[in-house]
Amino acid sequence: MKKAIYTLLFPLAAYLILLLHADYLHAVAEGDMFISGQAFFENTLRTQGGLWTWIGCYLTQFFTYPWLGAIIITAIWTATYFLLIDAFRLKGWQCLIAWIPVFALLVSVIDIGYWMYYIKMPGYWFSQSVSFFAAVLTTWVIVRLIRLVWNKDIAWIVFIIAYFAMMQQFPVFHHRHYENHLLQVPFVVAPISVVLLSLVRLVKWEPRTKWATEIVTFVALIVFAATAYLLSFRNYNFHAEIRMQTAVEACEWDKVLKEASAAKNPTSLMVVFKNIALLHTDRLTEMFKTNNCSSLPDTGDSLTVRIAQIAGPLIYYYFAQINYAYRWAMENNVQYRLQARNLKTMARCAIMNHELDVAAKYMTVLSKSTFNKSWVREYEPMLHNAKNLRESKEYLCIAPLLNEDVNALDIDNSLPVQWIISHYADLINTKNRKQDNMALCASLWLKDEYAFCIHFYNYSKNYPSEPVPELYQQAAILLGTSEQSPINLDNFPFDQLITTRFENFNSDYASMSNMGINHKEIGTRMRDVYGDTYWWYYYFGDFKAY
Amino acid sequence: MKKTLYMVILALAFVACTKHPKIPANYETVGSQPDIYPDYKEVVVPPNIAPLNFGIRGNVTDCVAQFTLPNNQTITFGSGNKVLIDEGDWHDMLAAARGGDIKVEVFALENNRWRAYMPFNIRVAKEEIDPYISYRLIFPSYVAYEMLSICQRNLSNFDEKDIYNNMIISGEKDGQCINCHSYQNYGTANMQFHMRQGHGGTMLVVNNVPQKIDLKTDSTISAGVYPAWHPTLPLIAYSTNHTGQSFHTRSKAKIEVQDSESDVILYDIEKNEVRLVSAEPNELECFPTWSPDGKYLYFCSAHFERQMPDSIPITGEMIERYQDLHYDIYRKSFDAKKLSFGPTEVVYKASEDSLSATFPRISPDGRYLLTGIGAFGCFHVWHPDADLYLMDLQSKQIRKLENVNSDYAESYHNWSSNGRWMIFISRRNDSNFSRLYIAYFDQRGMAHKAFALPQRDPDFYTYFMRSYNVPEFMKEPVQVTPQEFASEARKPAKKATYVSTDAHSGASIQNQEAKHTVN
Repeated sequence: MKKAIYTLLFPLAAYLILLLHADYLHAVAEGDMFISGQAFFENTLRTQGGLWTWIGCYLTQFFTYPWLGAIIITAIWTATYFLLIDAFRLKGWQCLIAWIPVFALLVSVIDIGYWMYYIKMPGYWFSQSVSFFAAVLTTWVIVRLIRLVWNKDIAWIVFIIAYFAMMQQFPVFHHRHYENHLLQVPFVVAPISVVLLSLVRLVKWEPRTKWATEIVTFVALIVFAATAYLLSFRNYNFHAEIRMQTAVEACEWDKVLKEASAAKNPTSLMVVFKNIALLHTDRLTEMFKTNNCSSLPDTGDSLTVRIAQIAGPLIYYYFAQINYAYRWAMENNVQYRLQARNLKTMARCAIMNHELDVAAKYMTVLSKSTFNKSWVREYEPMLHNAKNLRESKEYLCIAPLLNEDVNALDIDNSLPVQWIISHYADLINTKNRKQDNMALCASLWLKDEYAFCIHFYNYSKNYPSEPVPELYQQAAILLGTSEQSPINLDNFPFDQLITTRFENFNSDYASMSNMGINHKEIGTRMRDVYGDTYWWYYYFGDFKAY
Repeated sequence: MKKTLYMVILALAFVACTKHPKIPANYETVGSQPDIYPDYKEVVVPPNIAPLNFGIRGNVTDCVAQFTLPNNQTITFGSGNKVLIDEGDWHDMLAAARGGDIKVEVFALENNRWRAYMPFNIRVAKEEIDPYISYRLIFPSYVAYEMLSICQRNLSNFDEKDIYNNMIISGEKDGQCINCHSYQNYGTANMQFHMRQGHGGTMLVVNNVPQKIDLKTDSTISAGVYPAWHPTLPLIAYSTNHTGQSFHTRSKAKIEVQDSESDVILYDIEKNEVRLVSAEPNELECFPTWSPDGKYLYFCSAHFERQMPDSIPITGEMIERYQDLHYDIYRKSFDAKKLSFGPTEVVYKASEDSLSATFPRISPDGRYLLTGIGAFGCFHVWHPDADLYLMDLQSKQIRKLENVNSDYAESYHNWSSNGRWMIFISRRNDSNFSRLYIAYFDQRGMAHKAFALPQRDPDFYTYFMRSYNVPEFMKEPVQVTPQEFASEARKPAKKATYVSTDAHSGASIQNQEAKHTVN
């Protein structure tokens, strides 16, 4: 019983560690694709290690339900462990060493972080474990057969042959001009540790008591689990981005805003997601009240990530730039790997673009995977009846921004957010309040004084009897009252509170500046009082587009 | 053991029986033809084409298609919702029906009731099609170019092989684009294609020996781009282009590719020399092609004069004025002895009709010019309005080609070596993925309904995620292997030298007054 408990301790820990990364595992399933049928099978088989890739793609789908995928992969690792013990005839404390390859495989799944968007191996998350398991299983079968006729310990030789015969393509973490070799370490550790198992048997040392063996085993397994956890990619923003992306895809705006409010130092992607949620809940004027400053993502190495490759399609889609959303979904599918998430975006774009034949194609492909059938069932009615599309929640969000009759030829230089902000700041002939707000807020986001003044003038004309939102008054008092301003606000009825607060802002700034405090420090000191104003963002706020 | 053997024999016998299913005894007649995919109804096919396997749309759980030959012999195929025809049987059928019709009657089991649809015909032409084609397979992406391959396909069956694919030597650091495969007079002993970026150069094959050439010189805009082999001489005309891409925000055209500069050059293979053919100021010359006798070089050119040279760069202005780009078709006579060209002659002034003509291709008998025409620009492969037009070079009449066009882009057209078949790409299936279509062109100069390149599985095009482009007919397969190409690609390219000519002198343009008829 005790032995069983110790045996299950590490798989249990591995399972729990995986579940701690449930959001990531779900994103992994969305970032991969399996298509049942001969065509996908044959195409996959053409690549090196194609069978393992195919099995890997099939099993990676199960991370759609992280608890289920985690059970399957933990079961594969546990089976690997038992086969190794039997193949190498390990006993007592020696069995611990058989957990090393499993530990390495666990780390390889949870340590890659932002590389999940860039790795070009479909089914990576399972294929390595599966190919390794296949090599171990082959070793076990052959060793068992050999033992029937020839009682020799040649498991390590058999393993080396089986491993190289069945080896999956060696993962490469390479993007642009940067390659991370550290992430390849688990794939070196795993096979070497198996070969070392032969040497372990030669070690004659044994703990003096059974109790001591149990202590050694327990401590070692705790160390394994703790090390695996510490090596996992636990960056808060990385996981928050994933959670927000999932919420944006489902138009769950409250969840997006909740995540945004919990973040202390959000990445630009998180800020953009927050602004998408504000846009589609008609609260865009809160853009600068909620934190609009951003930082670059901490990738843990020198990997330079781009929003275009992480969430470009989704961002374009919810800013109603359908062609560009489609483009980046296609580019990312081609450049990295076929992803269910991108196929869904392409199908949604095609529906929005009234390109129903190609939408049907993508849905047919998606319906050939195990866990995307319900998504297809949800969207398929939109193909057959435009009413279903018009009544869908995402159409209701996007439709006011769709300028069907306005086409422009442009290039985004792989900077979607920069392009979107500039596009809306330059938008003329806005057609509704959502577009008016988007144009105004984009010009403020961009700190484009001229564009703001023009949009503000139009806004005042379009809604003469309505109170002007606080944000626009803050911006107008800052940007519209200068001599260079293209509009005259001499008689504009600013709220007294805003006027007073702006005067206080200016006097506070002036007094600190006179004290010799540098600009950056002034910003830090004024943030508590004025951090919710546009003035603070204008002078101190920084949004990093990447 | 015996029991197993009997079971195997029984199973084989069952399979043999189901190869030719029986027509249902009871059925109701439907007053329309079946909705089949790909659409092979009332098409004219070559007598050496692969089986036209098709599927039936609708709630079909079983089907039988009865093929009746001109000699009244019948044969049936069908299972599930697909009609998959045995290759041997099919070629026997084509041989028996050559010059006549095959009648196809489709019976479909829908909602547990058999229905008989109105029959349709497949006409088998007398004239064969070239046995091979080659094409590039590319994801319909915009900038990314992973997994590109140039493939060759045997048209009488479903065999497809890579001529070369860019993943053989591509890596993250030195990704490789491959394009513009081209052959001399339908043979493959002399051929070429380009490699861009990593291990860049033009892969030139002469007498089945590959060699990588660098066609970029200090005096030309770029290396060779769109190629045109002289039909008999060791010469290749190329366009040289400075190309950029931009993207539509709403238009279904999605992508615009423009040349901010372009000229036409001639490459002398034996001397490894490049010379200018046409490099007029304010002209964007492109898409060269030879007349079959090699006496004329046709090409397209757009006149583009800058209006905002001081405010934005030329690429920006071209993006602003993308609808102002209209390509016309011209030609120059060619003196093979002197390697010199005559003055530029107008063949078709598409710009006068506010249209843009691209990819001129002359029929092997020299009688017709097939061209792609759209409202503007040169990248018609993404323009839904782009259609194929035919110009009779005797009468100078040009007309929209009947039976082959659709509401989506048609482009990258080519003639078979006997001039009786056309191949082109079309996005008609789903507006996004380009597929190959073949059409019969009869002796009266009429095109017949185009049909999709047959595939073993009728669902192939649904699941296939790459597009076809640049289909080229070939009389034989390419002999050089992908590994041999890769090996040559790793070597440094042989640099071509530039020979000065006066390409600006032939500026006088003789208008031949093409007449435009829009059907």
